[in-house]
Amino acid sequence: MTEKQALSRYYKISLPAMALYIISIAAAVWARDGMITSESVFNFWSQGNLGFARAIYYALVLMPIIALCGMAWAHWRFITELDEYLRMIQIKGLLFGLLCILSVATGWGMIEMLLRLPALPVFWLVPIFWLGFSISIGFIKAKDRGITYEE
Amino acid sequence: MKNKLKVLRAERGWSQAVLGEKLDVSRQSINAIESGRYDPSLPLAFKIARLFAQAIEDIFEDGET
Repeated sequence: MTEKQALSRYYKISLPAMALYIISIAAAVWARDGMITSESVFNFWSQGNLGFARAIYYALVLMPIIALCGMAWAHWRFITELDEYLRMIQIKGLLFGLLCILSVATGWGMIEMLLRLPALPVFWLVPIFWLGFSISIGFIKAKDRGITYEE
Repeated sequence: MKNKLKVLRAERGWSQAVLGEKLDVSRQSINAIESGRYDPSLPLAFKIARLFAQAIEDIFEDGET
């Protein structure tokens, strides 16, 4: 399978999963606020039916986790469908992303303990991981771009 | 690791893309192998050797001999 085909298969899963992640987080926040604020639509709708509203809320809270699992699976499949050199680039990127979150988590943990700074919400580790991954892949691809391909 | 892949490919008039297709790998992979930035796995090295009907050690040079 070519990189283009693998990328196309990757986007078919990862883009809807990313959309589900964003929408479900927004919906869960909206629902949570609705449970607290009496003026909200969610609260109005859920009046007298709190058990059902709670079930929906829990489902909304679980949605981003399902979306993240979908994204992880899509990436795993993408990596397995690439040839060995392109796979090595991806693995280098993943390793760099992993090192980024290990450094941030450990570093921030120590700062938090020694300087009594506020706790870093752990969900920030996912964007930090993907940021590290993207920087690393961008750097490797930029190095590759400097090499002329022969037709 | 040094190799003769570029020479062997040029002798046959193949582009990197064509060689990539024959070996079922990307053009980037061929480029990385030819420039010595990437050493292929043993299965890929065997595939290359079979394609050019040569022994692996005749194509790849580890600098030890």
